[in-house]
Amino acid sequence: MSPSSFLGEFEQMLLLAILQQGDRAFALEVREELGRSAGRSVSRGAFYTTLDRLEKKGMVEWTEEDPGLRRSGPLRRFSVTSEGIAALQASRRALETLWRGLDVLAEEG
Amino acid sequence: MTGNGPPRRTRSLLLRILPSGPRGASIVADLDEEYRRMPPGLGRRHWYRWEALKLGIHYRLLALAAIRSRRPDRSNREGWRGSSKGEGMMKRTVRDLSHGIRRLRRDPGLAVVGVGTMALGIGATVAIFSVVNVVLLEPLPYERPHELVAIFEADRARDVTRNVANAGNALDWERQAASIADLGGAVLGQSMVVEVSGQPMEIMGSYVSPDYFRILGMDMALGRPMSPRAGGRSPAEVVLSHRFWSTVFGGDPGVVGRTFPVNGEPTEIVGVTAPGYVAFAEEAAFYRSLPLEAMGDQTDAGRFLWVVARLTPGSTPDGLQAELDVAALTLQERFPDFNAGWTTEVVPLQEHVVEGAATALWILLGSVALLLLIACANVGNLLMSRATGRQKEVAVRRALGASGGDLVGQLMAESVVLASAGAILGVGLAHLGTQLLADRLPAAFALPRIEGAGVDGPVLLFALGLTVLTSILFGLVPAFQLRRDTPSRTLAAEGRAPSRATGHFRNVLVVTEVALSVVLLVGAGLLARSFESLTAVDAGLDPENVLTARVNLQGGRYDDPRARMDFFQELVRRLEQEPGVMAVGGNTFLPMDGTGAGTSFVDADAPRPPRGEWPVADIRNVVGDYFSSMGIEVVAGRDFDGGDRLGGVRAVVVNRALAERMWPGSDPVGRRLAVNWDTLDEPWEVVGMVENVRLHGPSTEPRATIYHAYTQAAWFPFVHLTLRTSGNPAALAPRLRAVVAAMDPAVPLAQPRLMEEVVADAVARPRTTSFLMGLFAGAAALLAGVGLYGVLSYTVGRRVPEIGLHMAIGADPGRVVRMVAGQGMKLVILGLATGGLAAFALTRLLSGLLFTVSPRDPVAFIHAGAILLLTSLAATVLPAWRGARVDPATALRDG
Repeated sequence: MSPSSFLGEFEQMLLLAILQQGDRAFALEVREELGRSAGRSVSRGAFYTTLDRLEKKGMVEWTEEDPGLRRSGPLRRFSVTSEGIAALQASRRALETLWRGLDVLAEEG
Repeated sequence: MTGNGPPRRTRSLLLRILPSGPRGASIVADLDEEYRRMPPGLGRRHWYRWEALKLGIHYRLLALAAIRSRRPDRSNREGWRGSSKGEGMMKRTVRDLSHGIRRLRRDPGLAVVGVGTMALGIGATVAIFSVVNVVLLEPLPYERPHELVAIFEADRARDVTRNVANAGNALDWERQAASIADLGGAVLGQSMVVEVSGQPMEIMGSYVSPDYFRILGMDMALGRPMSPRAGGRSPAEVVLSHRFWSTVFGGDPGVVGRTFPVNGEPTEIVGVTAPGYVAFAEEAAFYRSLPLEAMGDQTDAGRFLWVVARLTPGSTPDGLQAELDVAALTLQERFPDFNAGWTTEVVPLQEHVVEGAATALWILLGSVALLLLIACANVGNLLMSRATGRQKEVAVRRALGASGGDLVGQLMAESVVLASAGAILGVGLAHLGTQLLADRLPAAFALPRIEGAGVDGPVLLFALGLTVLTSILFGLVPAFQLRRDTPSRTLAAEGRAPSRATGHFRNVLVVTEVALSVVLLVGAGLLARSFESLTAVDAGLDPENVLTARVNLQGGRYDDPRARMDFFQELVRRLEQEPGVMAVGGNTFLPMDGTGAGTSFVDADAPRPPRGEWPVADIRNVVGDYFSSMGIEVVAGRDFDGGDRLGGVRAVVVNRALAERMWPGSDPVGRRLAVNWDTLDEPWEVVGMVENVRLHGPSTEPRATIYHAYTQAAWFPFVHLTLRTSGNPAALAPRLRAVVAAMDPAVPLAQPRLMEEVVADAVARPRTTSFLMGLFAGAAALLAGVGLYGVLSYTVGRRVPEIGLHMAIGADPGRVVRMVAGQGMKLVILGLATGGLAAFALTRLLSGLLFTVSPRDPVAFIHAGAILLLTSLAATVLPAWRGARVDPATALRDG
């Protein structure tokens, strides 16, 4: 994996939130999930821009869903691609490697 | 759906900004969906608009960044023009400025008030500066002007300083002082009668030493200076002053070489001076040459020479002073009768020229600077109140990553635009202002070059500097204020209250404005009171209904003093026949008219003190019923009468000051004086005593004065007639001219004026200074009032919901008024206290301009406070009234 594919913190959180929501991963729900788990509201602009960036990297894709009973326009449902999942795992591994042997410190912290 | 759906216009605007296709549509759809999940009400529509705005800004900025990043080639290609960073700054500046202009166009109220205030402040400052610049700062228009000094004589023991010099002494200085490269002199006020186009005219000429213009390093506009030996030549040579040439000769370039009669003697015009100041001899119409050696020495002449010297390179005025101190001692030994007690005084020429007016002008400049500061505070305040409304916008930009520098740049751009517009308008105002000042100031300050005041290069540069400085002053503060607020705090506040710090800072601005206004008002009050007491001074005469005009008997037929005595006696007799004339008199020098003659004298019947210790008196020769025509009271003995003629008792009338000095407590009548004028051997007998007259202006204490009858002492060829009339004195001027012309058509009548004008002119400078200062102080108080009004009405507006709530639960409107007024008064009283203290410290600077008024005059302080309190009250009433009229229902609903 090229170093450029390392994920930023917010990117990781976004991908994880999409995964958490499963097949209900509409933008609104993902953003709410982020707000709940991260404990802070997320700027709408930053949210969409990051989604676009992840899509460009090929880690996220979306399908248009007919709103059906909903009366809004077409909504996008997001899913994480295999490359996205690979990137998440790579990031996690890298972090775990870095954390190795520092658990005591983490506990005390 | 329409009634309950998201705001349609906002929605479609947002769609246009977002990326096209499903990507953008889905973002709007998300927003719509979130909107639907919110409880209905006004709040959610606001919420939608706000979120849409933030999104819109975000995508606009993204698009901008994309455009910029897509143009790397171009910036590389143009790289040779400058660094790409520099180019970016340039672009950013242009963008910021056009942003500023757009904002001001959208907010015409802000634009009008802000630009108007700045125009007032900058205009007044630039106008006064243009005068200060041309009079005080610009070097004199000579070659190496710093080498030029004026040299005076001084007799400090008798409190005489800056006295004109004796020509013999001056020649001696030149011989003894190594620092003097060249020395020349001028004798002023040489009244001459000339004929131009067949009309007799009395004008003031000046005798100057032959190389006078060369010493100054002054150019001729036409022709050449007088030739060095012009004195003995025929025809005599004359150089016209530039002003006389342009007014009387209409600027005729063919004037050089022409001959015209001066005092009956044909005189050739050889040159015209360059426009600009001629040291000392500014007022002279033309210059004739006379060698210093011919101007008399210590044995046969008095002191009447204005001396200018050019220093050798490297010498200093102080060095020359030291040399002349030694020279003066030698001169005292050589001529003990003439020079005892006399020393010299070296003053750089430039310093001498502006002396006296410098203080007043600097104080006026300081005052307008304070006014400008107040204007800046006011506009800064205004911008802050607007900036508070923009905190959201700024916070969003910051949240989206705009750097602090970007934001400060944009906010500064607004103030730069405001200040620039104000400056352009202000320079226009200053242009008008200098024209008004040019009408008023010359009479008031009698300063060379003051007519030249105008908006020129250096003044424009000054205006530019002011603009930059002021835009920083009032622009940077709100910009930094906004930067300090963190985005999260501001966004969380949802546009309600501005930060406490901002409100606090605006209060500080108002307090500052009030304080500065107090300083100006106290200053103006002091000057006004000083002027009031100047005009209230009993000058010892009654100028009402008195017409004066100058009659000069220079030349030919009137060389014999007897002819002059006869002429004036006959003239007075004829004028007394005129209807409406109550008394006719005359005096060689008018009171308060600037010039005069004086000499030393002693009691002829007492042991004589050494020459250096003789007292000095002003000398006046009077004709006709001078004292009654001027309303001067004879308090002892008698007035002059027809018997005081050549061959009769040599009679003098003295003033009270002389009598009290010479013979305190006893009757002066019958005493005898030896007067150092024509001869000391024949004393003059005091026949009467008159009340003191302030000959040298109302602020100068009366000095010893000796009056002679012109019929016994026609020491000057000219007399200022004084006619007291029963009706309008001005109406008599044509008759006066006709009577003089009937006696001798070749005799000119000059300067017909009302005595009231002469007296008014004597206080023109304090009048103008106090008028201008009053104007500035008035404007300052007004601006402070507007500033206070702005802050209070803003506070009231901000607190409408709170006030509404109070009123809804039964608070009475009186309480609201008290609350608003209380806040206002707290600021005003703080400002009054600060300003009062500052004024207390600063008014010392005015003491040189104050007459009988203490710089800490309590009345001026109390008036200043009262004026500001009244202004503030007016500024408080409207906001308080608005507060009290808040409708609780509306307030609560909108809040």
